[in-house]
Amino acid sequence: MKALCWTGVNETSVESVPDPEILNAHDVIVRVRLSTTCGSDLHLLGGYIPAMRAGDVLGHEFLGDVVEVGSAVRKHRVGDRVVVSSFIACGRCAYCRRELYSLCDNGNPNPAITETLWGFAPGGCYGYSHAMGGFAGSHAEYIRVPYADVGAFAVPDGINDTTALFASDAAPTGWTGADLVGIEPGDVVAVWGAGAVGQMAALAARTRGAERVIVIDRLPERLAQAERYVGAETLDYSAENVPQALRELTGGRGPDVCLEAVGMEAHSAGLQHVYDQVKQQLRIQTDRGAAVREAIHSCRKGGRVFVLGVYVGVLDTFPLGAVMNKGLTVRGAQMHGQRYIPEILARMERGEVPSAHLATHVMPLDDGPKGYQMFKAKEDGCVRAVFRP
Amino acid sequence: MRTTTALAAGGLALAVVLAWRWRGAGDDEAAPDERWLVLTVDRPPEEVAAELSGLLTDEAVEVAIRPAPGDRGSELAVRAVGGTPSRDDLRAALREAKQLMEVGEVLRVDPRPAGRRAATPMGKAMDVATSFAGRKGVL
Repeated sequence: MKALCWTGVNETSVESVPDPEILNAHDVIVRVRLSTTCGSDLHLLGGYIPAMRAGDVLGHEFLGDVVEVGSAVRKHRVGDRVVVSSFIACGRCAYCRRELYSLCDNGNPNPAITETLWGFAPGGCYGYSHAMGGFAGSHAEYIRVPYADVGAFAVPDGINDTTALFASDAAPTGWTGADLVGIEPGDVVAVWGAGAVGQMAALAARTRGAERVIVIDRLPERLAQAERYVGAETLDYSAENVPQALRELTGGRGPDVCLEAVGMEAHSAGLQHVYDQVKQQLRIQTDRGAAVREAIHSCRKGGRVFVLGVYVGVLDTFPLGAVMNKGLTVRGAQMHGQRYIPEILARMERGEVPSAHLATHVMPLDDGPKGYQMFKAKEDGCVRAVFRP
Repeated sequence: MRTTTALAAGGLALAVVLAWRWRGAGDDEAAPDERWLVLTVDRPPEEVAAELSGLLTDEAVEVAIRPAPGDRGSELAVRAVGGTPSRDDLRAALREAKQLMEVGEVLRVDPRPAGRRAATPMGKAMDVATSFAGRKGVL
């Protein structure tokens, strides 16, 4: 089959690779209909997560049709159109039973790497380096889905492919942050990043009772989407002093909740960006923290910060003093897709989760390398490049 | 080119850190049989004891099972009595036993679809790291 492979730093190619096989009784094989780039792929693409091997198949956000079913699968049959959670979870361990699926004890066959780096291993993820299990990704004609009864969800007929695609990762990531951060009715929520995850986090905040949602980015086309599809207020950080603007917008208090949806390659203005870039390139720190610093700085006293952007290791100049002295609650997570996808699909069916607009550039898988280039450079207003194998 | 060099340096540093920590955490010669390897299985102790008899039967392995607090199942501890099996083998067996008891099968990942595996120093380092990744760690 054809697949889009990582071949080196900022290099990908479409190659002929072996078809996936059923390896466990709980597996299904899915023929991919659509598979999208994700901002977190850029960390892999750029070599910031050094657990990639040339030849690895990229992609973790997808939907498709079931074409083969393992002997222990009960929920799915050949022909089902399914959307699949990007994180791989067994559904049976203590973490899964508590609906913390991305923390699954049994979903990562390479636990030593992340145990060594972080103390414990989270679950696995498709196409997301050998640190997250080394599973082949979804930018391919076919993909193997382990624990299919837990991670794959039938898509109701009333939802089109392009909308349902984002129930795989972007929407449940947003839901994870907005739900676990504990939004209360009347809260003012600020979201850093107006990409797909940021927009979905802003939308999810609305479902949890946020009174006002303010989205921060520098790209006008993304801010326009956040205004149009989420009804959010927006701030352009390249033109405004964000903490000052947030204070002005919130009666001097600061946002009650700050959702950071940017991650380890955050851009910022001035010396901070130079400082972070130099330290990251020299591998003195692994992550650039401009967005998370600003979220912590801007958050009101006693407020809550949720880190949704992907970080891999260590960050210099983390404002721990602000966390302690302002009494903040800081939390983070990879997404618990299996927990939120049913709600998201139900809302999509009712037209409450506009997401098809995120797929600004749909193209054949053969154009994958060009798609990643456009997505990385944000050319032509690219919010997400989506591949059709 | 600059990015590639930096990546190689970063990858090498990661490999060194992993090797150092793995040695410290699980080296057979440095810490023979002293520490138990322990994990929590989300099943009641009596069920763990019953199923374990078919999974970890080596007479050279000492096994302890106790209830985990807060409805978290059972804490399962093992250690080799006389130096064998190695801690790496024991760790891998313990992880597999947990998966069998909780899920009913051991998750596999190979063979997997992949493109051309270019022969590079970084690639070699990653191959070495992944060959140990199921048997090493801090467990």
